[in-house]
Amino acid sequence: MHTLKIKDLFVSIDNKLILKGLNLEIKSGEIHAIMGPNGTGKSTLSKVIMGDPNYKIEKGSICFDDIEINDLSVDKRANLGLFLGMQLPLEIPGVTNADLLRTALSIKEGNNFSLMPFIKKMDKTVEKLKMDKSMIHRGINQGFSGGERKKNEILQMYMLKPTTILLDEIDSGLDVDSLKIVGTNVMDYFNEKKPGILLITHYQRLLEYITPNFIHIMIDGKIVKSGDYSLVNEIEKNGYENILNDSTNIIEEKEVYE
Amino acid sequence: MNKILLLDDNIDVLTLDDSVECKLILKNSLFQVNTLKINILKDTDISISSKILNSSKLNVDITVFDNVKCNIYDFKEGVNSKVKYQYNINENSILNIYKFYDLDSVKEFVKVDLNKEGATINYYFKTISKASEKYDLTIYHNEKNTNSNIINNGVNIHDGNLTFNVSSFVSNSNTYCNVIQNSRIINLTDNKCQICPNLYIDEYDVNASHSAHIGSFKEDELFYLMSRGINKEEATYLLIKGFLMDNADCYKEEISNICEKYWR
Repeated sequence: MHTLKIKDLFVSIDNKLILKGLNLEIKSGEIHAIMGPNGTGKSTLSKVIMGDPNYKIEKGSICFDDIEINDLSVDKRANLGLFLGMQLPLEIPGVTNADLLRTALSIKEGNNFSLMPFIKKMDKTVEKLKMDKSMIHRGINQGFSGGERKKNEILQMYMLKPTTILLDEIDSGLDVDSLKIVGTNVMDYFNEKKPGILLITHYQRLLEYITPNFIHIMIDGKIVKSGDYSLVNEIEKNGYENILNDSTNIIEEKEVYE
Repeated sequence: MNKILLLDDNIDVLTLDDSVECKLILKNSLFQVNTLKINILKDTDISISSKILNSSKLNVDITVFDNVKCNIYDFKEGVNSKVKYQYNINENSILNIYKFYDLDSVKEFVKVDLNKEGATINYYFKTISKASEKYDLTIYHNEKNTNSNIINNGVNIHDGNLTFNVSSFVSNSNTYCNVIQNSRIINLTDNKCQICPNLYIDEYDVNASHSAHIGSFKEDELFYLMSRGINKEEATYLLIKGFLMDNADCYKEEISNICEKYWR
């Protein structure tokens, strides 16, 4: 059982405050979905949890299994079991998927890493995700379509076996069929390994495949409302406007920097 | 594949079929350095490997005949090299050059003449620079409908200082030319590196672009690899290897060994 706990988190980039007192707790076996208007800090949250050095934690803490990881390097967070499926996965020519995963697993598993099971598992997962086998030996995301890039993120998730998963708009750029493949594969992984999942999305359609236990509405850098799935229907019906009107606790930047 | 093995500035081994003519003109009272002359008569692949044990001063003159497609894989390792290359490319001919250097110091002049319509050069160059390395490339689009795609990549380490001067010329009335230059130096030192991307174009109807980048790898690239559990040192190694191996299928094993030598 693992717990990711975020307490009163304030985060800035280039002296601009993005997260303004965010609280969230994700346990193994739970799926949390964060929804909210554009530019409200959802992607920032996922990157800060993963340790992106572009962001500065002004206040608050991120704890994994009661250990504060605010200052932990990105790779160490990943080796604790955190995984970030990115909104815009980068293209890295020359570094193949196979190189990336072989290196990552060699570091994680040390002497227990064995090449044959790795190849077998990779082939099986590529098939499961209906990806072209040649993609394994191409540069990371090199010449991949938007949908292929997202599937590649899920491939990496399967291979690295994380215990806490952050999926940042994993549904963007996916056609109907690819959305189904990505959604059902995330759910298969969840049913098998019971990780904690934080899902960032704009659309209800992903939630048809991945069923969250908790829905959070994020506005202006903090969670303003949490609830069950019925909240999704409320957003679909009324939009964020009403929720925005209800939220009275907007934080001024000077309060933090002072 | 046709093979030419050079030891310093002399031919050591030559294995050629009838698609290639090759001769070495030794230095004399008129010419102060040896000249390697290669004529490419038919579609073919050529591997030119150079081992430079002392130092090498050489002129290399390569002519691609009409309607010929040729790939040249040029691999150099050793100490000091001073070479003048002249590439002559004729009607509807395509020359693809894949060069990889691991040398101590280099001074190189490359002149490309795209002489007739349809003449094309794709030039993919990679080097690991450890001392002074300077490359001057000049590409002349002497006819309309000619194409040049020049890609220079270098990793600068130790006492290296690396310079790429690339100049492309299109004179008036040579329409529909494609002129592309991309140069990138990954500088892992505090030493100075330089890229001069020059386009001299006296014609409106031309497609031209250039890019130049000197610096380290992007933070986003490191973040991506590290977010998979790879530490910074290992992630940097992967990026260097990937940078050098991209578009270099012919020398994968050699490049892998060279990367091991410098970064392990």
